Amino acid sequence: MPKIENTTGMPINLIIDELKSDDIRKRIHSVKHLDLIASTIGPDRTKNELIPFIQELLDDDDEVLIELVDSLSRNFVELVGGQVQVLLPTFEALCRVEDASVREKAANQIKKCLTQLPDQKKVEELSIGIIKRLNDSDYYMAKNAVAILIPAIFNQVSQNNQNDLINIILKMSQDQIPQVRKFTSMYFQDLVKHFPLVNETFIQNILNSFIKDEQDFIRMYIVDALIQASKTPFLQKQQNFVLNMFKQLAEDQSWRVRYYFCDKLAEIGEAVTKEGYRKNFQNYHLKFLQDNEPEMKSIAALKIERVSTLMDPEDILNKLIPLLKSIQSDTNAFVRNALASSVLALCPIIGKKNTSEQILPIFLTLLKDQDSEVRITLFKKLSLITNVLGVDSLSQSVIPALTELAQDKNWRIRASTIEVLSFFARAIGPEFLSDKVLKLLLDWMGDKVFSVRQTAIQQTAQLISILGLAWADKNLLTKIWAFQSIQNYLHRLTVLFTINQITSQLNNEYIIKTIVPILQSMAKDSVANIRSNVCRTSIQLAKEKGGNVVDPMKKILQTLSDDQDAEVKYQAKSALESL
Amino acid sequence: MNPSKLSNSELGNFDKYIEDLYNGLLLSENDVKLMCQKAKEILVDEPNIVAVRAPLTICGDIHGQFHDLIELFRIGGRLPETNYLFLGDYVDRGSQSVETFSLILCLKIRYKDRLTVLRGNHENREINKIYGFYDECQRKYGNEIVWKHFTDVFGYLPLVAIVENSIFCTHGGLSPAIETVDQIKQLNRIQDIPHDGAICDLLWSDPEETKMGWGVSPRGAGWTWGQDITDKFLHQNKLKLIARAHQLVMEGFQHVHQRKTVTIFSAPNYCYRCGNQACIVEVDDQLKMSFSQYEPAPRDNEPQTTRRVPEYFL
Repeated sequence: MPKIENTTGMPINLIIDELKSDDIRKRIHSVKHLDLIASTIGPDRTKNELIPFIQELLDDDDEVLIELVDSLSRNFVELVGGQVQVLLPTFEALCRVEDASVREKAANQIKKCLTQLPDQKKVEELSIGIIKRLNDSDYYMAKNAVAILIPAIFNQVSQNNQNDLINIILKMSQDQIPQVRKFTSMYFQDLVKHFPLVNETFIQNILNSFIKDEQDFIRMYIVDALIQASKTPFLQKQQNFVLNMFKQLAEDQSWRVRYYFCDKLAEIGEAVTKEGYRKNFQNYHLKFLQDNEPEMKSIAALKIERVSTLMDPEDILNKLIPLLKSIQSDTNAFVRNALASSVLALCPIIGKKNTSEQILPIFLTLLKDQDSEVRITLFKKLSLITNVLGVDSLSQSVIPALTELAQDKNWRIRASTIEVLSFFARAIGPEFLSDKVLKLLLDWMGDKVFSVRQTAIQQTAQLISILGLAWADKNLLTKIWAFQSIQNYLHRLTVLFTINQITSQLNNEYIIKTIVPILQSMAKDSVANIRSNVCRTSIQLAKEKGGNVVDPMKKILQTLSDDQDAEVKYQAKSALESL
Repeated sequence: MNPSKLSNSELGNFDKYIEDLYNGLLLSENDVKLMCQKAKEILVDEPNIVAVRAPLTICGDIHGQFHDLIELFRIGGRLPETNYLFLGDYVDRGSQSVETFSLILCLKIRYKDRLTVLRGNHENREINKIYGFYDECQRKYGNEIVWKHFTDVFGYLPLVAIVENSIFCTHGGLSPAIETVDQIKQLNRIQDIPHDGAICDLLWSDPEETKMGWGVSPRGAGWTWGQDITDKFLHQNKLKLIARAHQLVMEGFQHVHQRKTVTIFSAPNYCYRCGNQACIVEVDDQLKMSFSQYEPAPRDNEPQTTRRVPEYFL
């Protein structure tokens, strides 16, 4: 039994009173804390007083009802002492409201409650009752819950009841109100999972009536139903039916239906196996790449990554790749972005020679795309092409692109670029870090924006851990230590942040020789923030390194414990105490 | 003892509050009460005019745009490494005034010598009852109590900051009742902003680029002042620049009066529709100023790529 703590600062009685307040904000606040009220008054009073009282709230504003269903979904089963059927009438009533999210949550809560009842007979009795009452309701939106609940309990009820439920679905599928047909279509995928309990003829009848529906959002969901049906023996028994209906959806005149179909291509492929995909659906994907709608081209390009595993590599080379040339120069940036995110997945499939001849040109074109988002998306999938072609061959072509991105006016692009550079450096090693590239890194460490500097420091630390302190000292660190003399204190801080970040890479000898003089000098900096951070760095070094580092650190802290700045003084003194 | 006179456990508490606030979590009502208490203890010791050392970063109006305040810290760095001066107007209009002001207060309590927090014209009961802060407190806490705690603190916020005896910083601008800086020291600031007079003017006035002298303000409070007034004030008080906020400017900052007055505004795409940039000003120890402009932070629930297929409904 969860005992909930009252952190509202209000007495319980007031919260209970405000359930009836005229002010909607107060009602919402009290409803938010229903679990607190229930926990305080105990399960018996919750069952006998609170729940019935909540029934009266059900005339309330949508805003209150949204809070109510969320509140009751939390741990109310425990709060009513495990007696879930007490909650069912309230959830049933919430299935009749105007707000769709409230209805759906309430229906799902009913599902959850039913799974917690041990008595099968009770489950059947209660669920059939709820379903029939909602179905008979004057308000057509109540059928939303019916569509959700029927599949959930279908296999737990008697044959007679199953027949009744089938008839309800049949009626709903032909209802004159499109919303009702939509609910039926959306959740039909859950019902077909029960094949053969729901028989072939029924499934075919329903789907046949949906495919002829004039509303595209009703035809759309047939895709899901067919996918689920294909995971059952239905596919073997009615293979032609399934394939033909898929094809109708792929050729639907509404782009939304084609879009939905394309979005689920990978799942369809898995359901009908590779041979089935190649024979029946591959051509549709290729057609979508040439569709007039940019949405279609985008989703088709996005799917390349997943459907490529279903295709024959010969087909990828001869049929798919030729189409990508026009996609890479599509006027719409979203289309090019979609291509950038998935084209490199082809590399491991078609092998080194083909990648070099076919994919590399596309890669190099996208690398120079005018939209920096496209370039960053491409970079995120870099390892797919470097694994096949080898990092070295690519590094030269990549540097001009990196240099441009390093100066992008969007600071987030600059920060992402640092990670890409780091990727190459780690893969190739010191040869990649030419003077040109090192200059980029140093520029980033001196960037105007704090977050870019932080990313640069973190990536530098990672590089150093891979390439070693000796290399770092020779090529990089000396230049970073030189930041000590920059006029802007924010850039002088970079020196200290870097030391903090690479502490684990430093050996005591290096610290004594190089770091201690830096800290001694910065301990005399005119800006208090610098001196504060000298305290931080000193105590970190002393604690993590120990040995002969401790004494010099102590000395530095001692001078700072006499500092004129109160914060610095306090930090130095506390640091010394902790040593 | 640390400068804020916090015990060890209090230090831990405030570090936790700050961490939670950076993550967008709300403080409980009890914690808000504690925080406001502590804030008053610290602010009551500050004079009407705070003397501030450079280097530091000056920021303008935030107006409850919490995500953009976090973006500001991504650009300028966090406390206590970076020093900050905020020119007021933390609340109203944006949807997260509570988080914004809570974070700023906690940072002030924890790092009082690194952060200066001035009062804006919206840090006043009458105004923020109408422009959003009161409603937001009601919605998030279910009662008036939290709003009362916050508004009790407003009176304690100082009115002016002077950076290195050179840059005169306040939310609105100048007042006909104030010729010398010393006159500001005499004011009693711990009260609701009066409808006229020096305190009101400091928080409500606007610079006028085309006319000289004092003018009637279209806002109905404060005045407009011309370049001649700026020149006289700076000369008389041996100052170099007036830095203020209070007005939306499309590039985030704007120089007027031949660069002797500058407006800084730090709420990008103000009210989520004005399309303006925001700006913070880094002032180095030589008083050289560097302007960093930025756009709104990307919000989590915004689609980053192509338009999504809409959920079709009748």
